[in-house]
Amino acid sequence: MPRLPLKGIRVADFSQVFAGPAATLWMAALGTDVIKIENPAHPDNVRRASLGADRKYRYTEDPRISWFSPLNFGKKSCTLDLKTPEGQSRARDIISVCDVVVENFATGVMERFGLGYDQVRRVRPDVVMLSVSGFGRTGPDRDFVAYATIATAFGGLNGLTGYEGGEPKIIGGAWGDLLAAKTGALLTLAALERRWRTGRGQHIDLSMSQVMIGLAPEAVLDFTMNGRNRGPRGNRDDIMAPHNAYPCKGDDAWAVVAVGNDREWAALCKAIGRPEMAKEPRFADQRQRWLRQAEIDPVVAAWTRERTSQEVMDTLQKAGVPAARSSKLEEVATDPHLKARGYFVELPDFRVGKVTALRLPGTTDANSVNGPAPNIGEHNGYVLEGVLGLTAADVEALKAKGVTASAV
Amino acid sequence: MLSGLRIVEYGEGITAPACAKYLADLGADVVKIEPPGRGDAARRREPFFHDCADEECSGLFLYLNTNKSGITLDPSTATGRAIFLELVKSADALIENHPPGHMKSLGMGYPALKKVNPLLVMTSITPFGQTGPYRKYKGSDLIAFHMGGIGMDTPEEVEDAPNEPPLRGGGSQGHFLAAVTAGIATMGLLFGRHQTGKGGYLDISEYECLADNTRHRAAQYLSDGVVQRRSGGEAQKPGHFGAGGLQPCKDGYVQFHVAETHMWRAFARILGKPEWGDDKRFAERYARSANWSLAEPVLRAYTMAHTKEEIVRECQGARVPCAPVSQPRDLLASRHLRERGFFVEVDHPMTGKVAYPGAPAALSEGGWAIRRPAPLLGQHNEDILVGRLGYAKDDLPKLKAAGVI
Repeated sequence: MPRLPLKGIRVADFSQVFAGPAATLWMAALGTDVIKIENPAHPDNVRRASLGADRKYRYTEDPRISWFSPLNFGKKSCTLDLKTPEGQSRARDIISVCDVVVENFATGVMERFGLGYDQVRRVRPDVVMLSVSGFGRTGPDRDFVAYATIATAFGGLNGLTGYEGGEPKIIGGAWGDLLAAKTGALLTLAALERRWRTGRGQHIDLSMSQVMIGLAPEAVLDFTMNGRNRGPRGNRDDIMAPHNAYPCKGDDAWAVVAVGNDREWAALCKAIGRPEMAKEPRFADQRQRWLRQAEIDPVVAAWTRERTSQEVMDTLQKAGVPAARSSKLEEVATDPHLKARGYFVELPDFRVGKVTALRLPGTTDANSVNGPAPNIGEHNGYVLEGVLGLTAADVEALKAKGVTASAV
Repeated sequence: MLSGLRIVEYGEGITAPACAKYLADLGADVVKIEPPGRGDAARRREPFFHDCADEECSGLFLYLNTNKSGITLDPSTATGRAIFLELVKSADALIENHPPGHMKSLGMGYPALKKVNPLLVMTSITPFGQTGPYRKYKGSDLIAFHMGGIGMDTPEEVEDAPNEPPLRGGGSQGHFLAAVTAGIATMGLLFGRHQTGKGGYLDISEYECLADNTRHRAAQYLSDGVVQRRSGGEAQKPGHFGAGGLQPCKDGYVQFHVAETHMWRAFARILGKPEWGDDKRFAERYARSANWSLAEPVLRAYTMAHTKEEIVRECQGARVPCAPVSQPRDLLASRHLRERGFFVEVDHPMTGKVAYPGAPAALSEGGWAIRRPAPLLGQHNEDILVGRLGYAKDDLPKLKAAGVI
């Protein structure tokens, strides 16, 4: 088993739900020892989260269904009540033997726990600390109550997403949280690289809304260069055409096609049984096609309507035309292409035997899973006794005070 | 942060260039290889400075290629290949986004490059990965975003599904997500060399980068088979995770996300309906969602009477989650972003000084900066070929005539 790249690095992870844990998931996969610190009375909410068919949150105790494992495999869990002085002391002790601290609380919370960057630096001067928040830890809006939708709206992405000429739409999934987490992971690794060379850590005060703005530089530059404020453009592109989502056979089924040059255009026309369109002067070049895409789209749609989204994708791609299904969740989860690439991995779980998770992009069979997701407090022994050197009696005393708890 | 790291970027468009940009802005030395004559395809993407469709005036290209040295090179020529190998020999990482098989066809697949430089980290970013039934399929941002499943969640709920197609996020966000993901994986291996003593190869699939955003839901589906649809069934009112949703206002739109009951109470007071704070029709999250049609007219009357700034100031002042739906002009006018120093001015020979989005984080020890604008096509041919690789200045015209550079 090859040595994982970040073996020997240890992370004190105070984060919850998405915006921090998705970052420490990467760190765990790369081999770091991630110690997830959870309040024994209020563990990470994601432990019991799942989604119903009606898109309501659904409480679950089943580790096969809850979102916890896919977001937290390879990490360790230690319980501490950070509202108690004892819990805060133990947290600082843990940090003193860690290289990285990750948190995504509201601004001010870590400071109230005695775990703000300046306080943490006293116990670990070279710590790399990643804070993830909607607006950052400084600035007039630092205390804004922020969710991913809020940061994404502020960042301008909702204003760019929607039907042409229509109102803003929200990007699906936990877009803001996850993009922020991933950007945070990248910056943390870069900071670790610098720390290796210089011995100095730093505070990475990551603002989700700033991450969001950086994802749509075309719109920003169109304003700063040309004074224009872009709005939503549906599925259309600035220059490519046809470039849209087209209805397919089946329940709410769609495929997308993105034609980028004359060769792809000719191939598309042939594949949909309209080769003569490739010769029509009014569609002769990309610019013409872009100007007239409202004429082209219905022709493509007439063809796609007769076929499933998978057929559209496979037929057009085999003809050399960029096309794809607009995947439903279940199509991704059962995709034979992903299966062939080893994307689905089994994690051991002490309660249910095993849990299916998805490996991270770029990982391979040899290094995709660094262990199962932890049960709450599962590693109290490892952390409190093993790492901190407390005795069993010390730990019992902490349990009696409610500072920590037994593993379930 | 990354000064001393040498990166070779061999790619076009967004995925490889953005990945290399993230590292360049953090201080890495990036040499960007472009096709001689025509340059990176991104040079032909909008927005153009003053609408002048010149290869040196693409705002997208300028943003993506800050801090890089730019050379032109055709590695399919014998001399071009030799130059490429010399660059790779002294590089820490190679980031490329050519179709699977391209590098191998040049005799520069990872096994060959590993022999030249065992410490090299080689990152290949492709639409579907190097392997698997779809490996030859072509991609684009539209394809990545929808293939990964985010399209069918954008928006999550529609009322007239046949006429409301799934949407792509505005801009090219799929490509940028793939670039960030590739950046994490690349940095991981780069750091790992300190103890492994060797580099490695990264096969980054854009499809997987996008699908990763619903990793928790896909795993749930594999266990319980529950799927969500965009409409029908128990139709949800706007914002069932957080009440309020999107609302038009006097000068645009605002976004609410009133998730918790204490926030709802404060919100109800702002709306002049304090009694709704304890009204059981609105007492908990899903009740609020189910009964939203009763509250929406009152909320709409409030928002239409106020500007984004007034609404956000009043609501956030009462700890009610709310934000303006910003347009670019709002972002540039934001006092918060100004005080955080977010936008940075970059001076470029063709555009003069233009503001760009800056670092995604405030860094207590710094380490992020835009030191140089994007390169003009072939701008650093002499610096790199003569200055770094030891070619004679007189060689350059010959190489150009031969189509090598």
